[in-house]
Amino acid sequence: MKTKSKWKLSVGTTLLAASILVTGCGGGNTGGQTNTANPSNAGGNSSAPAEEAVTITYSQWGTAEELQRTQELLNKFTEANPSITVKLEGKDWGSYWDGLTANAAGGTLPDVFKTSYAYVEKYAELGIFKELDGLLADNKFDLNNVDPSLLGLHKYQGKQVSLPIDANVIVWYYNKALFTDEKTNPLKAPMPSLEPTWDEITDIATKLTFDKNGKNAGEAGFDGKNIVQWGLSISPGSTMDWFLEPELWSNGGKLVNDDGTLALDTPESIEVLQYFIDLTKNKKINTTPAQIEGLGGQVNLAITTGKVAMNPGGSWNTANYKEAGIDYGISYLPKFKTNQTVVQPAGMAISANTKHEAAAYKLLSWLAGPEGQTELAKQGYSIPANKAASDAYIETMGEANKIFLDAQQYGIVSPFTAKKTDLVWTYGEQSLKLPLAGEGDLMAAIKELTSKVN
Amino acid sequence: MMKSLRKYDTLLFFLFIMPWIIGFTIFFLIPFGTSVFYAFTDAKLPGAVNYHFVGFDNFIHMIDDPIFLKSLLNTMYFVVFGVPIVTAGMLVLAMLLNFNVKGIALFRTFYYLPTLVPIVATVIIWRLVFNAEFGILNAGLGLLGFDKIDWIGGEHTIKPVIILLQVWISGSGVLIFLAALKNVPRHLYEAAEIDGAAGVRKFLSITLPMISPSILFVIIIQTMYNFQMFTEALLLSKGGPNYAAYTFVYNIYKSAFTDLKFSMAMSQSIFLFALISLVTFVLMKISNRFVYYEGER
Repeated sequence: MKTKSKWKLSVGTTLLAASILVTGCGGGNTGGQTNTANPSNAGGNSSAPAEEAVTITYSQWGTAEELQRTQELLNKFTEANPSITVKLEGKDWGSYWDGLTANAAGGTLPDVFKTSYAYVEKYAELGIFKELDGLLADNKFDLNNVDPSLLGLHKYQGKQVSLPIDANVIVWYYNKALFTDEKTNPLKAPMPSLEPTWDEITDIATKLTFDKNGKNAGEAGFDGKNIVQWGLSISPGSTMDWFLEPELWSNGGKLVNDDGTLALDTPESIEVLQYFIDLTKNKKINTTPAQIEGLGGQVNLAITTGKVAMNPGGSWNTANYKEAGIDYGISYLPKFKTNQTVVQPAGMAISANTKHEAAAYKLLSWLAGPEGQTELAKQGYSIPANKAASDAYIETMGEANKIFLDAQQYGIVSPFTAKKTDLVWTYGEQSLKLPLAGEGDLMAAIKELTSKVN
Repeated sequence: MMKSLRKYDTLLFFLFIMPWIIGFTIFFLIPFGTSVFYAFTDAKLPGAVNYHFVGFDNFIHMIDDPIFLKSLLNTMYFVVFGVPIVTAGMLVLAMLLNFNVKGIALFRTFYYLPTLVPIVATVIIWRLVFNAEFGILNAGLGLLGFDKIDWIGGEHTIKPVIILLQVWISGSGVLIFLAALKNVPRHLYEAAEIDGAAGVRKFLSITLPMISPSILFVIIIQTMYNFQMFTEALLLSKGGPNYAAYTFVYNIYKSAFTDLKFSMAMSQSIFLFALISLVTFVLMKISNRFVYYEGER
């Protein structure tokens, strides 16, 4: 009898403990995030006059330095609008989107927040965006200064839900110091031309890859297991959206068809994939995923290690290179047939349930309008989406960075659908990262991926 | 007189237990009830206004999630292989730390220390140790003439690495075993020695039965932990490569925050809850035969 009651008690306790842990996982996340709610007691409703002191929250992703620069922008805004206090909430890219989901679930969305063209459709389906058409028309916001294609990427079902603020562009970077130093470049490989082909880049990269015995990747007896300097660092499987897709287009291929299905099994696409596999597996002039992990985990920062000569990156990476003290050169993304790149317009949105619509709109229109965009351009890190600020950008950055504006003409027109977002960030990396580095069966991986995405 | 005293006692009882009841209701009962509620809807988010009741659709379509089965199998791998290995590892460590040698207190501290380090920090250290290219482990193996092994990036090595990580942070289990070992009465061993029993015999006939309640406890805790594995899988390799370390809870997280299918995540949670309950129940049931309670008749 005694045994039995003890028994029941322990079973009961265990089940209870288990259930608490499980539900803790499901509901807990939401609960935890609710704490980031903004206790905005000041102000009141949207009809309150702007003169009344209001505190609104603004949220974005970014590194500590990027957030610091945003804070400087917000300070400028507050100078012009002393009655509005803006509280900045920053997260890193990955947790930003999960956090936004949690905020939407908890009803604690920031009043104004940064959006990416890649996530517009996915989050618009949740209904977190306020439609801006009415507000923009009422306040006579001049949309003529913003490229229609950029505006289009921030529309959902024909309605403007977010305003583009910057237009980052993907280019090809190289570490000049590695090319000019006799020790790191004994074969005197030339720096890439402005519009390099993959043949050219492969040739340069081969000459710049060395093992620990000082043997070159082009020589017989090269020890591929102990490489100390790589010609280039790319990871097509984990950078599908900003590297693999434009390269596929460059060869006449595609990442996704118009109906959203995977387009990796066409001859043009396979050719590109095989080319990249060859660079890693056979030529051994590219870093493997494990090597990238060991070099810091991000291909677009590979050249900052001093062990890699070239890597693809975004216009925003110049800030990282400057901080690392790297003397970098820029060219267009290497091409198979045609020049292609990706333009990534980030935007600004207002949450659908903001209590401070007037103040939120003021902030949004300032950040996306001529004043804020000019201030942004003067900082010199982002490319303003508003053409009213182009001159300020060139003035600040000089002709050397004009390539970022020029490269935009090669931007592929490939809007993000919810399906493509899943492909690029949920399924693609898991399935393709290793096969694209030459480990495992590529065709089987594509087949598996197709079944997941379609 | 007697009656009012009993009434007073009852009142006092409820008064003292009230904070727990309130906490239980707010932090468990209501969220749990809400989860169950949403599991039968098509809500994309909790608190969403536009949802419909879909009955058991979420449970029926759970299998349609391409990663559902793989994540379930991964989790079962951790439960089936991880739990015995980690528990055995804890027991071996506890027995080693039970030796009365000079400076044993120091060793006990050292082996407990990893448990005090936050799991996130531990995982980051492990990423450095196990990195294929620059990791210290491969460097050591390289001196012995081994080729570089991609521990974290390999589909077949990532799960064993995670199990090993659990042994590394198993200090609290070791502590439970150590306390149990210390509690085994000396005189039993002495009697056995007189009867001529040697080391292994003593372990099997005395130590193991005497500490069996602790073993059961540790196994159950470990089973639940492994069913709910998340942090290690997320931080070590993002569940990769090719979903080799994608655990069930990781998939729940994906359903909710990446796929934006909260209702599906809730039904997956309930599925896991039922599974854990079942396994725990079976464990308790069969433990009757193996677990010896000294105080029992």
